[in-house]
Amino acid sequence: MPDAEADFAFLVHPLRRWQRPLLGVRLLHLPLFLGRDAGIDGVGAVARVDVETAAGWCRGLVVSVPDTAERLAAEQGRALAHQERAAQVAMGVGVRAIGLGNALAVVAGRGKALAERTATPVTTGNASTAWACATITKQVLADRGAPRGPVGLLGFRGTVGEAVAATLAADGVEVFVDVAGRAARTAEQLGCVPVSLDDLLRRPSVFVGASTTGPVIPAARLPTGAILVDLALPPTLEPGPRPSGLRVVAGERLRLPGAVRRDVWGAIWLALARYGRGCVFACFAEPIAIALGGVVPSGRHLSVDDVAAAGAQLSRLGFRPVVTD
Amino acid sequence: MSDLPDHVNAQVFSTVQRCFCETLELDPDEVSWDAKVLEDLGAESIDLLDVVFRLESAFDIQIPRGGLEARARDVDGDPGEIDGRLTAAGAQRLREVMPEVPAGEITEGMKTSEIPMIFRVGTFYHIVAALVEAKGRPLGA
Repeated sequence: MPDAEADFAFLVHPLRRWQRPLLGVRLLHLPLFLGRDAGIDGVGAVARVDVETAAGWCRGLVVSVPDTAERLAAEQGRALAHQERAAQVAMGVGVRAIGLGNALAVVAGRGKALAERTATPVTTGNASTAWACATITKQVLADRGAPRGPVGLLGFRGTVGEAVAATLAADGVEVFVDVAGRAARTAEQLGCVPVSLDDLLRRPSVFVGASTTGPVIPAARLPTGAILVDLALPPTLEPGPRPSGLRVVAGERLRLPGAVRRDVWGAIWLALARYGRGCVFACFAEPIAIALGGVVPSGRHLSVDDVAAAGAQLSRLGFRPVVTD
Repeated sequence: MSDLPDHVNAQVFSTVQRCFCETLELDPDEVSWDAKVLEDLGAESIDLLDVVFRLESAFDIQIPRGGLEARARDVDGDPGEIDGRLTAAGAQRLREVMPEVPAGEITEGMKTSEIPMIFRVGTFYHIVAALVEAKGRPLGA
């Protein structure tokens, strides 16, 4: 089935070491199966996931590289070579857009190096992720009867965090961010309020976790009854006791517009990706939108318009941000 | 831009500067020798990964992850850090390998997780210079 034509590709990597042997079974690759080092021949198509949208079916190919996030970050030259090989596999079946999943979206120049080496558009999904998160956060605020916030946002320094903060502020939401120096000046220009971390955790009851490097605060520091809209992977909260009534909401989950067609390995991959039944994460949806004629927003800093454009193209296709735990 | 120390090769620094500019979408005059990478340039940890990738490509080197923190460890039998905090020997060693950072910013008891907060642009120059010279290549060649 992976040899059939596809419209978009999504490049992934094992999230845990135990997933490498599974990948070895899928690709009939002995070193991977045995947990050993796997070179460029450990890159391969692993699953088919076709998505029905308002504009018709979009056929997807999931292509995996063999390395975990830690190694991808430690050896970015190797990561790029694996990305290129994965892109070749994808272009061999005619894809019109390539999405980068998880750590593949942050290594090797955040996909820029790959984009310079391929004729097919490459995306990290940042704009769609920011749109999904901002929309979900606004829904959470509305459900709380406080559509103007305030919101405490962790991770403003990152591309997605900054874009979410800017989008919320542009919609009239009061957004506190814990940054100093240059980032604080940027935050003020975007209409956000730079404060200390202590103040950020004290004032609002709705938070956005957009840190790019995993646990940043102990859960116990959040107030009772807080809601955290969490984008971070690993999650924003450190392990430990949680305040009563704390709710953690997925920050980038989208309800699928229609049916999904997948092979057996596609079903396994969707389960491992933990998108949830009938849902995907926004980073997976963005290459679908691009393959169906959408634009590719890119850059270290995304504007409010970039985020809105990504949201508009996903909305037209029928994807809907959804508030779920 | 602040003046460069005498020992700095301007051509190499210019390349380091360009890597920061491209990653962070900044003008060269904003990326000075002594600018704090996180606070003054507004970078975050993923930006550092991006900068490292660009430096590795530009200089054909491989920068080990956590290289600076690692250099503070195991000094003459002293572990350099205990429970994630610098020992006196670790702090002294770090002052030696990070001469671009004012000595008062590196103290015994400092959390190793906070070391990136004191990185200067010059820190990355020194990492690059050390790796290039270790490969037997003259700086600026």
